[in-house]
Amino acid sequence: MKVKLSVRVYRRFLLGLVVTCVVAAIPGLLSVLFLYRAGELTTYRDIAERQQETGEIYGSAVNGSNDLYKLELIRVRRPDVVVLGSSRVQQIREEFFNSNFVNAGASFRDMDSGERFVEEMYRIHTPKLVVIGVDFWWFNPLYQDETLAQGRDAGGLTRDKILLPLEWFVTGELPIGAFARTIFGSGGDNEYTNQGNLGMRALQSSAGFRPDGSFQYAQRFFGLVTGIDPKFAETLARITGGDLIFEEGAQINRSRWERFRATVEFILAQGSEVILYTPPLAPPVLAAMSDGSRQYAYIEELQRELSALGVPYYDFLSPNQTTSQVCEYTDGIHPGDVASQRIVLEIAQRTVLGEYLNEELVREKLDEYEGHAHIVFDHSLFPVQELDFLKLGCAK
Amino acid sequence: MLRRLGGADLRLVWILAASLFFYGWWNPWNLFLLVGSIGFNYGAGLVLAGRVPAISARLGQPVLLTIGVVANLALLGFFKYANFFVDSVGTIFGASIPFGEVVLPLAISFFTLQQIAFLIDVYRGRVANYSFLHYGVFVSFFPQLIAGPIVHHHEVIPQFSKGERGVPLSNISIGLTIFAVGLFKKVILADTASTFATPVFDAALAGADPTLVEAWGGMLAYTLQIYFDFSGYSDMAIGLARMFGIRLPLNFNAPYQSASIIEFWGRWHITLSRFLREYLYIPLGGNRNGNLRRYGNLMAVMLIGGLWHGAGVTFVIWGGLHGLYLIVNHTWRNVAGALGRRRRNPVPSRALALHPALARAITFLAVAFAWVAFRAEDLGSAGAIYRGLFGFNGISLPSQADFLEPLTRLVPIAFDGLGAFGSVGGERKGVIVIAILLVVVAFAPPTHRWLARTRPVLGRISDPSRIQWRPSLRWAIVTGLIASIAVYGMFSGVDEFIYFQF
Repeated sequence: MKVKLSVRVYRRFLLGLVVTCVVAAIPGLLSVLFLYRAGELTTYRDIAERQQETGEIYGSAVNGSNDLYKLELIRVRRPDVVVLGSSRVQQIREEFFNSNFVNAGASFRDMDSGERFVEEMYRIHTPKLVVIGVDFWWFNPLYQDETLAQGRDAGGLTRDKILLPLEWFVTGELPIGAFARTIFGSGGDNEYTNQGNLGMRALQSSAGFRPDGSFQYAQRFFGLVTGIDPKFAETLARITGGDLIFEEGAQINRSRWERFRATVEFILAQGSEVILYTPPLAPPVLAAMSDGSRQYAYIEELQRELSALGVPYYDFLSPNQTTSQVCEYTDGIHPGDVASQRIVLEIAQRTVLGEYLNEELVREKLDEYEGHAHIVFDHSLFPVQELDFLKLGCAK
Repeated sequence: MLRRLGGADLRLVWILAASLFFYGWWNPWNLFLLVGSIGFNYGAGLVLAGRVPAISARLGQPVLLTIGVVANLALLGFFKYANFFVDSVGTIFGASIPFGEVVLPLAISFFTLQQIAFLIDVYRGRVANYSFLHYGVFVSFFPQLIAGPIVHHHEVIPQFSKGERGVPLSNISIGLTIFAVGLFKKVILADTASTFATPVFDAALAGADPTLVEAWGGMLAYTLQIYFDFSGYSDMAIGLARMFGIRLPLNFNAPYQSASIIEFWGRWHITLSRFLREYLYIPLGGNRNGNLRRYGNLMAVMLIGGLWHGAGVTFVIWGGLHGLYLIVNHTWRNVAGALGRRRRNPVPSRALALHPALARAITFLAVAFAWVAFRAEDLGSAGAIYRGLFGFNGISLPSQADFLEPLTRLVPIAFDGLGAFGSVGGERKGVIVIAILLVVVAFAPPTHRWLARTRPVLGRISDPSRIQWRPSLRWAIVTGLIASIAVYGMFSGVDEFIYFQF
């Protein structure tokens, strides 16, 4: 009799334990459900495919590997023209091109990541033309390449992602309304645009990658995130503060240069044409770098080497080369849509890029959006006006 | 269920298979090592016990025991110390000796000690006839295989045959509770402490000189980390074993509440202390040949204990420090005893005894001081932290502490923050976390005392906690919450158990 009672007691204890664990697991399950409903658990391939059908913006807050995502876009879109480079080339848009195009910006962040991406891209597809935006700091002797050994996030559900929505919820980054709307509602929309959205960042403000891989800084343009680089103050502080990308240097890092040259030769050997350019900096930033207080002799050496490489090269770093206005930048180092399209037009007029570009549309939009950072193609998608987000007094 | 279907042996076969699978998960090749070691020692035990008269009569028991122990030590020595030995010889002779990197197989230090003890006990005639299955499970039993507790054959093997009487649900309930507490200790407490300890030791390794508070923060954080890490693991092992109806010996008994180093070694890694005492200290002569010999034995045992943890000068220093502490502690006792016993003007023992709180604090600080050498990866970084502890690297405080600025007239103090301490988790959080955890280790009863009524470990628990765990709904909720918090904590990553490397 005593034993039977004991069994009952322990059975009740275990039941209580299980029920407690199940109840405690509910926030975790909701968190996973949120990630699922927000599209954060979708694989890169599925995202790339889905974007082509729906035109959604993909802005993840948990998946960190732009490279793998861009490779999937290349696999899906089989582009004639690919733009490579860092985040500074990401405003070149497919709407201006007559043929298939992928903006693989943010995949060539330095020589380590660039070499790897090019090699992986040619395993998937051979584009006809590759345009590379070259950042000068890749060749700064003090600049550190990223550690590739750290591995890449292949997307999907991993242990460290599961609780992120709960963390956002606790820190106030994710309002309860948005949390509930994403889980239980139709999801996908926000007050800034009428675009479809995939991923937490995109759901918030439609900030993220368009179906061509180009990036949309909607969180800044339309006011969700304010106070980033006002009057380029943050970028200017990076110059004087010795930020790694603005380190001084007398000579380029030879071994990285040789690797870059080998990468260009590899692309040519695959049968693609190559165009190189150095993306611009906002005019005040360029002026601060050129005021003589800091020594950037290595950039001039880089420009000479690029000119002598035997492929078309266009330098938009020199002050007299850029015709962009300060209001056309996203911040001190990222040219906006208009500034980027000015570059594309200039290159197209003198190279094979012209064969792929709808120059008439580019000119039309440049006229229409002069002094803006963001170009709109479909007004029904953007009910909100671009703001003077850099606090420069720009009329938008 | 297997026991019901096919008896105790089938259950043991399943446990053995599960244990080998568990061990092989890390590196299947190491299974050959474990199984080979089990086979060799079981065979050696049979020969030592006279079950193979042809061999035992020819060689004699002392020779057989020597062969068995030396073979075990040689295996351990090769895997654990070959790299260290080759590097040291190379350094001494200034030459690079071509020698591949020997990777330490998981758990080798633990299963080797258990089997050496087994062979010695067979030699002493203290071992009953065990089947190979029982012996195999005794060595490989997965809950305690990787990092202990180091069990005696006579503690667990009899339990295999008898099985656990009573209701299996009780074992599952008790085991789950102990396991949950252990998981919580590891994931929430140890890994949190680690976020404040690791940056300081890493910075010192990279050449930084930790300032006073930074060094103290790093030292205290590691002192807490290693306790919660290892005692958490031991709880998990005890809990898991209990779910299979096996009681393991106690391995931790609130060691940071010790009032002396002698007491500390009776409460910290109890099963290792027991092994060192029974199979090293006492055979060396123990305290039988005068104080000088006793101190020599103590130092030898602690140095070997240090080397057992790892091949490195820092482990030797750690062992040496504890040897020194023990010598000082025994000398103090002897002097106090002599003063109390003298005929003229005997000193009352109370007058010589330190206040318990002071004794605990001194013991804790001595232990923490030694952990610096244990944790540091080389002498240079250990030296940098030790210098920091004494203020030789200067004093820097967080800018929020600028109200202490008047003190700068007496001592140079910078207000540049705490350096690496808190660089990951935040300085303020670091100070708060360490303060809370210090209170926990100083006053909270350990797991087994909360569960004293359930006899969670082998042996009697003399000092049960006033609040006792019961299989009630309230405790189910508490246990469930502890387990859930620990599981949530695992999602942000878990450090490897410290004792896995030994």
